[in-house]
Amino acid sequence: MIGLKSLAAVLLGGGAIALAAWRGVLAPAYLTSLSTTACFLVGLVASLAAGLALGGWRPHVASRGAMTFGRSGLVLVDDPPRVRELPAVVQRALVLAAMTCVTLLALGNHAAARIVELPADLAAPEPSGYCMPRAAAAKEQARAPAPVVDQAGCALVKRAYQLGYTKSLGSCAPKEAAPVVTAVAQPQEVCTRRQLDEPWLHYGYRKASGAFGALGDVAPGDAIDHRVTDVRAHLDHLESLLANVASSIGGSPHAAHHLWIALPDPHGHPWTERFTGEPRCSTVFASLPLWPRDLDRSQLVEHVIGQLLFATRFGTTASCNDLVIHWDAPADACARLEHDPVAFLGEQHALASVRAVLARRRRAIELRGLTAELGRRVPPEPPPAQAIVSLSCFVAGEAKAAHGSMVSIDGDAIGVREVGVKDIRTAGAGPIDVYVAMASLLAGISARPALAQAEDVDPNADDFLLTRLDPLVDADPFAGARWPLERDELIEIVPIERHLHAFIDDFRRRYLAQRGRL
Amino acid sequence: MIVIAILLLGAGPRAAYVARALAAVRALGPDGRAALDRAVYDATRARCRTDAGPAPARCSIDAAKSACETAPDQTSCDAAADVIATNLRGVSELVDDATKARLVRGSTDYHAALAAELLHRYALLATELAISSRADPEAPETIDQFCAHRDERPHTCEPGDAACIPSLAWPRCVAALVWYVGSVGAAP
Repeated sequence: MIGLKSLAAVLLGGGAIALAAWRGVLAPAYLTSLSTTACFLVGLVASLAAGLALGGWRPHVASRGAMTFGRSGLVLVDDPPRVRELPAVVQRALVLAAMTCVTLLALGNHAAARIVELPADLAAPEPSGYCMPRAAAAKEQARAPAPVVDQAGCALVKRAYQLGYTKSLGSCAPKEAAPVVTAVAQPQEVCTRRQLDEPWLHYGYRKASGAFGALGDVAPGDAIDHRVTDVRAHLDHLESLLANVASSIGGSPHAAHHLWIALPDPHGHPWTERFTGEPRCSTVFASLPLWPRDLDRSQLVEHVIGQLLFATRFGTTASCNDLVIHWDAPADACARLEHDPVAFLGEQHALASVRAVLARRRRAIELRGLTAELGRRVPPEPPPAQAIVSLSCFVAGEAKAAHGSMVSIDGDAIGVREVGVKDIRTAGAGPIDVYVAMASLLAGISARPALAQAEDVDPNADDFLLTRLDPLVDADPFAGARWPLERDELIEIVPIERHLHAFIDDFRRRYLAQRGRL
Repeated sequence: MIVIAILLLGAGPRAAYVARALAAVRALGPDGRAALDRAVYDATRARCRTDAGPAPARCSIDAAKSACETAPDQTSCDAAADVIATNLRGVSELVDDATKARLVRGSTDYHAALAAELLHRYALLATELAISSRADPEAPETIDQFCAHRDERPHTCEPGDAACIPSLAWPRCVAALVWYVGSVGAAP
């Protein structure tokens, strides 16, 4: 029977040595390249670690467990009568070797240098606490070469001069425009932090005088009055100030856009989500294919939402965390929202996020008033409630043009919009209908003009394939030319990226202008 | 509505047409290519008044056909002229107005200067083709599939960036590559 301590020492030592050898830190070339400091630190850390480990290891005491070979393979035996152990010195050597190898893996010359420099780094003045000396005045910019002035009608003269037909450029000789130098006045920020050579006592006096309104210039009574007024104003708004801090720490939403879709949830929710949580919005929409293929109706709608709002290939995106999609929504979701918004939102677990955003906006307005009252710089006005909260419904199976109404939630007017698509087709030009409907729901009807009469080409010819297909470049399916997408032989080469890009660009210009974040 | 002549335009027939066009461009030889390129350009300018934008496809085809009227092998000439006509229609996507203005000012033969400028852009596209897959970059199937799927990856170009080829429709991508591969070879 072999003692567990001996077994563990062999495994630990052998494993660490093998790992170190594999990573190359036992190679003579590497060991000789180590600096004195690094060698000292490796020895120090390894000795300390081995000392700590061996303190509890007690190699001179026999193990209370052992491994042996039984009929069914390796067997663990408790309190064996006789145990075979490695000598204590060997166990110590193995543990020390393991610690040395691990330390060698972790500590190199660079790490050692960083550790040595650490005290000096900690003692160095921080820019957040001290006024650091300004960088030397920016070097005078090298004078840019003067731009050559183009002269109309001189191309031929210059060409003739280059070819040697004329010996002089005459009035076409190069003229240089003097570069216009504009000096931009940079505002100089006054640093009120501690100066590098400022004694603590003086710095303390400055802070105290600042806190009480310039003790040296103002009568102490006035300064104290000012401070009391300041504190009282803060106390009056204490609830909002604390709530603001809590929402910053807790990460409450900056906007809440809820979208009810009367289609089944496209995501099965595996049991692993109980532990890992639902995948993040940004993960779901991270890598969308350009054009949807082989998707069901729900997946198509989700794909369209992702492309419209979150695909980075089309430029500035909306904020992924601000949108909540409610799948399996009732077909009359928007009617119920219009009838009793608070009850429906509560039923759908959406009321908390809507109220959190509206409350955050009200606090922002209140604290804006506080800063104005204190004579400080007033922050910009928060966006209107309609820009940060929206309620939308996408209905499948019933054609409805995008329309909307207003409801009141806690006194704030919020928009409710609805659109319906009679038949969601996932093949051919079907996705175009979903794109157009979803875009009109989220951002209103586009003012893009419909496609003018497209080009007609002789159908009886069997040549000039490339030129005949070239007008597809202008056949925008979002503007009405959907027939190429209905043709299996053409769908692979329809320049959909160009048309999709233009459509989403137009959509995002309208959508982002209507939306805001706190 | 545009009516496409070739009704059964799958990947196979597309690749076959690319092969035909590639063979036609190669068969012309350097002088033949330059002559046909000039003839199609002149005919398109004369017939289609293309100053305001790309010519109508029907007009481009008629102009290209007229350039091949005296060719001994009409079919082969038409295939090569198709490539040239499509490249002419795609000029504004590859060469911006500022570069065109520079070419107009700086050269006596605008068409030759433009052709040289376009060849640089085609070379970039051919490089993209060569590194996109391990398949033979001169194979018609490789060109067809590369152009059919190239736009699945974003190609966002800053204005005036001559080293960036924007997203291209299949005919323009194929025409550019066929012209370059047929003239120079796939390796730039």
